[in-house]
Amino acid sequence: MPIYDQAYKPWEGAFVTKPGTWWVIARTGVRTVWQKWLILLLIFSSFPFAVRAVQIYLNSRIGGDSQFESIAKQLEIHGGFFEGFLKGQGFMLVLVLVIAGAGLIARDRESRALSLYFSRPVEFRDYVGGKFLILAFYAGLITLVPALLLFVIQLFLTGDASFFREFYWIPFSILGAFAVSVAVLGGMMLAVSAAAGSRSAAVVFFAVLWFPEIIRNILSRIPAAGYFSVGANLRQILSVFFGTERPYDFSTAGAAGALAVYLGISLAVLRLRIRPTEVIR
Amino acid sequence: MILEAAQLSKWYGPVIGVNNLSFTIGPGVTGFLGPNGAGKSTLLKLMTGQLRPSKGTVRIDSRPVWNNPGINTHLGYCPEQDAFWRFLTGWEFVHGLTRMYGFAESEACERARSAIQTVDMEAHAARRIGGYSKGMRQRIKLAQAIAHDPDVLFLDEPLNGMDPVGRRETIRLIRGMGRSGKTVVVSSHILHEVEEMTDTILLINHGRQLAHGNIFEIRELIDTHPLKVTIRCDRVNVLTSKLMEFDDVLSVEFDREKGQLTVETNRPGEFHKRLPRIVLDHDIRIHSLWSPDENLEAVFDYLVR
Repeated sequence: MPIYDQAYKPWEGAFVTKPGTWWVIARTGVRTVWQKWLILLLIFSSFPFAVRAVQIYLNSRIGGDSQFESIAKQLEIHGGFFEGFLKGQGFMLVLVLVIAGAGLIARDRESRALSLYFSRPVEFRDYVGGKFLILAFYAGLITLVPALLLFVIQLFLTGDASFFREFYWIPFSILGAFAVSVAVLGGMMLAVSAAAGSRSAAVVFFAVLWFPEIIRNILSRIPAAGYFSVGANLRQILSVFFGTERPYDFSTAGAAGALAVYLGISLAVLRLRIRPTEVIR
Repeated sequence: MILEAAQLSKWYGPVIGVNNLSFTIGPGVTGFLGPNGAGKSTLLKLMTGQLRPSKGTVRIDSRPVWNNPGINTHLGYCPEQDAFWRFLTGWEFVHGLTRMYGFAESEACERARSAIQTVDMEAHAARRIGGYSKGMRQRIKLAQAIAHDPDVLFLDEPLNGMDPVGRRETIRLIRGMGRSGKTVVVSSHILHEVEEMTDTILLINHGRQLAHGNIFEIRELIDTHPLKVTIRCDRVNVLTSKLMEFDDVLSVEFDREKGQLTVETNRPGEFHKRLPRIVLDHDIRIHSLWSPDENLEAVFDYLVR
């Protein structure tokens, strides 16, 4: 049909809609981030996972051998083993969050696309929820999934139900630790992405994480200084999940409160910065 | 669907963006007309629920627009500024945004394809938006606004940057939507563009409503507006004396240094018919002729006065 013969033709199909715009945002975002080779490299070259898997294997081989008692003790699999794995993945987690998250909101703001999102039946919680799921997906690939996989490997190699009877709570602890870490760090990454430009978001995020850590180290004689550090608070909470010794002297409830404050600030920043229309005064 | 604004105001600190507007818009095409900075875009953002009114309300079929995302299912919005992820292809852009209305994958695909076809962008849909021309970007923006077949469509300066063919097609599309019973609001600062789309306009300047209604009535006001015409020519004295003989010529300003005169007439049509005859009869050579008043801002200034 020639162009000049075309006119507007109303849609003749039914208007069938399904709720859940957050899901569309999340799915599109996951696909877009998947195209970044660096993030795939980080996810699929998980050295700590391989080391821990070898540890599980060795433990299953020499665990009951009295000849190697001292080595077997070091290789023992318990809550601390999984906590150690998650802590070890901390830096990787931050890297993945930065690569996946720095531009998530910043690019929408820079390209003025927020007005397009919010001219649709999209609410603030859909938008933020969708973006958060993108981060949770990639964070899960380097923390939650390998940690659960290690647990399954251990179950298989134990050969009986004794390990499961004793440590059945570990998957829940992994899930809880993952949820807290990703909620706080992911929330902060989104807030930084909303507040800074896509190019500077990574630097700002590192600064927000490590500047308080430096202060905590300088004021190491004052236990309460630990509340300023996101990392210290997370490590303190992780020890609760896995029933291990607390790494710091400050209160665990205080650490939980500090993390809640960080999360609250992140949400406030998101509320402030995610608006369909930028008002320039 | 009926769009209703009641005592609508928006101010940013001491700056007033929109000042106490009240109007009702029904199905068909309505043009928001005003010079740059008049408050058209602010008004569109208020009407699409993207800005919170400082005072007053906007309702669509009696339902408030602000803080009511559910109503967006019935709205389509094409912003003035480019709002793109430049790394996406045209297809990904339209399809992704159509999915956000909650359509199933297959239906979203069908609607996106239909919208892209309507704006004649099928041939370029697989290319990245970053490589599009301004006119193509306008078309793909239009596609995302119409893909879900909205009942109310807001188009902010939709013809900006389009080539003549694109303009003609887009005007045809907008008129077609109006005829099919949709409520279409088009903002523009170019009078003749709006005239081609609709007879109903809302004139805005400095955030205030100057007139709302039939374009011909407003046009009459414009036609009786005294018009200034500046002429650069030789034999300036002769032309000045000849022009002064006519009643409709209210004043003539003479600038010897520049060799030009500025005439103010309250019957521009007659003046323009008469001028060639005078020039020919007295062998006057005209170097240039223009009217500093023939723009919307001048008309708006007049209407404000």
